[in-house]
Amino acid sequence: MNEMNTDSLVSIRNLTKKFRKKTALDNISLDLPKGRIIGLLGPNGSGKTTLIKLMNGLLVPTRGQIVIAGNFPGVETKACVSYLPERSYLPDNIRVSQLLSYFTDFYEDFDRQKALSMLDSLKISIDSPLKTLSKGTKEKVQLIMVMSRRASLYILDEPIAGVDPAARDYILKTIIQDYNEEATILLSTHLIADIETILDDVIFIRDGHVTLTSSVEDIRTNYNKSVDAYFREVFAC
Amino acid sequence: MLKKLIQHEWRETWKIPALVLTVSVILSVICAIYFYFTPAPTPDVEVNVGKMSFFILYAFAIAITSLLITIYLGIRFYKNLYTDEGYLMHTLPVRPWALVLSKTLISSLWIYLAGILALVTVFPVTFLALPKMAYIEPADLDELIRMMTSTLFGGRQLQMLFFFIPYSFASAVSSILLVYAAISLGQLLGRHKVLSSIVCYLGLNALLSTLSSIFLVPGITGVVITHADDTENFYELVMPSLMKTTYISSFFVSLLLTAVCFFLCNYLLQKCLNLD
Repeated sequence: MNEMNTDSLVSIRNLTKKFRKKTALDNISLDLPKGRIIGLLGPNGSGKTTLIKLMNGLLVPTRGQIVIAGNFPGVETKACVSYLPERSYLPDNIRVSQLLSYFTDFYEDFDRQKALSMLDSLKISIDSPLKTLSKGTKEKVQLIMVMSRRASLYILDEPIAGVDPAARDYILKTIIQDYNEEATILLSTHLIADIETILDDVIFIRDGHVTLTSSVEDIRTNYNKSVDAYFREVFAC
Repeated sequence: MLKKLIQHEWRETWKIPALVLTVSVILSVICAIYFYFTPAPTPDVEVNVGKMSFFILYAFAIAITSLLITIYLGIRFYKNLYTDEGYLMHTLPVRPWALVLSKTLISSLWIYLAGILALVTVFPVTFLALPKMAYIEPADLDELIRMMTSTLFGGRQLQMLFFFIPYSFASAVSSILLVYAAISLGQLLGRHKVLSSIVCYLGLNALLSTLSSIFLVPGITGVVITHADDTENFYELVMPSLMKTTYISSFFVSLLLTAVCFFLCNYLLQKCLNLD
């Protein structure tokens, strides 16, 4: 078994996740350093969301382990990981103000003023019931909540999938402007061209296996290609 | 964190149970007014079928109050922890037992309130309705009321309330935890999770009935043997003993069930969570 890297924010060792007969992740090992923006890239069904859910304690691994800031997924890691899932988790029966209370009450690192100012800049009233907001606005509210935390690790699962180009720009701007710079961002997507400019490192994942971990700079230098072009070459059907 | 979870759980769930209980109180008031002012039947009428049907409908409506609230709170538990909302709840920095406990406390309180309210409203309406549904001699009515209170409280109201209050709260806690445990067990299956939860609920209920019988039968048999020849004091001695035995046995079954279901829910959330 590989040794844990003590300098890493996240150490994943021999991680396997099976759903009945299907192996979603097969014995993967990874280290995520501090202070980097890392793209978790792979085609649909490659295991990106499974890995992210395991890191957030929403799935139980079949084998292997994950250590985040020295702890296994649990109360301690949830206090320092800010997670944006691929879907909306906002309950319909509450207002934006109640969601703010939720984050204020449970996350010590939540910056309420920052969230209020971001909501104000988008002209989203905190008295609005969540069920009256459009899908795009809900996604923005969710992103604002997640990015208003001073977390050590931001895990963003497909933050720009399914939104219009204008919203995409807003989301990327929010991610770059509003994250804690000492923190790491793990950003999963298959829309690489849109996020390539903000990435420091990439992880390629395919059929539950990590096929590449590299800095963006190295890909450009070694292959003389953009990450998007290299991804298309590697994952060509 | 537990206090905050309880506060949020209360804020997000109080409206529907409060509405259901308010409707049941309004219904009781309407029935009480109706039976108070409606004329009593004359001695030549044995039973007034219309008024009896109205009373039965009322009693049925009150009886399903707790059921409606339990179903609502069960759905809330499922939606909040096992659907998309679970992505928020399970990433809060709280332990699974705190999630289960906060929901259990709030839900139990509502089910308990529904039970107490049913008791408080049904009895006065019943006493008003009895002489209006059928012709009853005043002396017979007193005897009938005595029999009814004996059946529920064993004739010694104050003494039996001492058993009834903790028993009914323990029963409220165990009944909602049984629903939570069934829902959590149902999530272990890959598909048809809602259907699996319902099957688990039926299975756990069957298990509970068997367990209750095992606890109850020796006590009740003892009471029957002790008072076998005591037919004259049935409502004064036998019913109080029977009810006391029933409350105490059921109380311990509820405690046992509460402990088992709570640890089961906690274990499944901690070790077997696989959110879709």
